[in-house]
Amino acid sequence: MGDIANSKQVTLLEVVEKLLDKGVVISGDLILSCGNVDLVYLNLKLVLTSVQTMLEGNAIKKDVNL
Amino acid sequence: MKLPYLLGFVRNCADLPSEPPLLTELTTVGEHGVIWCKSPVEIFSTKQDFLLAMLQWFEQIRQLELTVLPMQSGVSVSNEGHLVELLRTYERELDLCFDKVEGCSEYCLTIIQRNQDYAHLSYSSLRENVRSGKEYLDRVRMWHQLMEREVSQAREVISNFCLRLTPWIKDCWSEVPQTRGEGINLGFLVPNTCQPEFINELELLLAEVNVTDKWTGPWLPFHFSSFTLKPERFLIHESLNWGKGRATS
Repeated sequence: MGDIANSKQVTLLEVVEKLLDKGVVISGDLILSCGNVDLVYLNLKLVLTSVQTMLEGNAIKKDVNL
Repeated sequence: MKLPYLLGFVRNCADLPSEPPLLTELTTVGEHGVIWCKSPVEIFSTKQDFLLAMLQWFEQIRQLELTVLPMQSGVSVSNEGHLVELLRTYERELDLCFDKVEGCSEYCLTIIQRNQDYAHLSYSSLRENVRSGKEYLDRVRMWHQLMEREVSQAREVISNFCLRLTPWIKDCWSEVPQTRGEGINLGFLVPNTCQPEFINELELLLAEVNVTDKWTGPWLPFHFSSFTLKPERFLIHESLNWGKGRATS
């Protein structure tokens, strides 16, 4: 009896997990936080780079332009 | 740094009971409010605990007969001050969405297609023991015909369910299987006043088509809270990672 109750709960939790992917969603680019420490900039074109690297890249480009 | 983790929006709700383990807070502007809590990774030690707490929270919302526009998992704002900005920015979208789902709940159903032709066949197996290029191309052609037939069958099932349940639903959502062996996902937006009739009709329909899969609900209207938040500077997608050692699912 306990097993049946547990299996029902597991199924429901699977549904909850699937549902939580929906709802009011964010579109486009977003900031991803990992444990309040590392912030990365995630571009939906699947370009993933660290904010620091991106800023450094911009600084180099500016230097080149100068 | 405290990042308010967003759970959902409410309308015309001045106060909301907050019970452990999910201690919620409410920030309101005018008639709209946003429900939030601390980051789940700070509160729960496993993903399963988090999902269980969400399940309990949905039950509380149901008992209070509140309509909540649920948020996609993992959305936070950079600080509490931005909650007000969020509500002001999306006032119109919130009203439109609430007008659609107010007084409704979602019911979900996943239908697994059983007795499929060549159920054992997978895409990778097409290359097994292949003797010529022509044989391989013939197998690929057959594979595509099989997939086309299965997608067509899935669409027929979806159409049948949606049509039959139309009198009792306000809207429906569906998803054909992404790969072989996956189920057809259906979501129905049902006015709370029509729930008994809807469930009765759904049970009849499932028996008629000899489908033993169970429906679930009532849920918050996840598939019908369809507006999107633009990438505002204060919106954060928080990684809900409990770590390999602790996560149970």
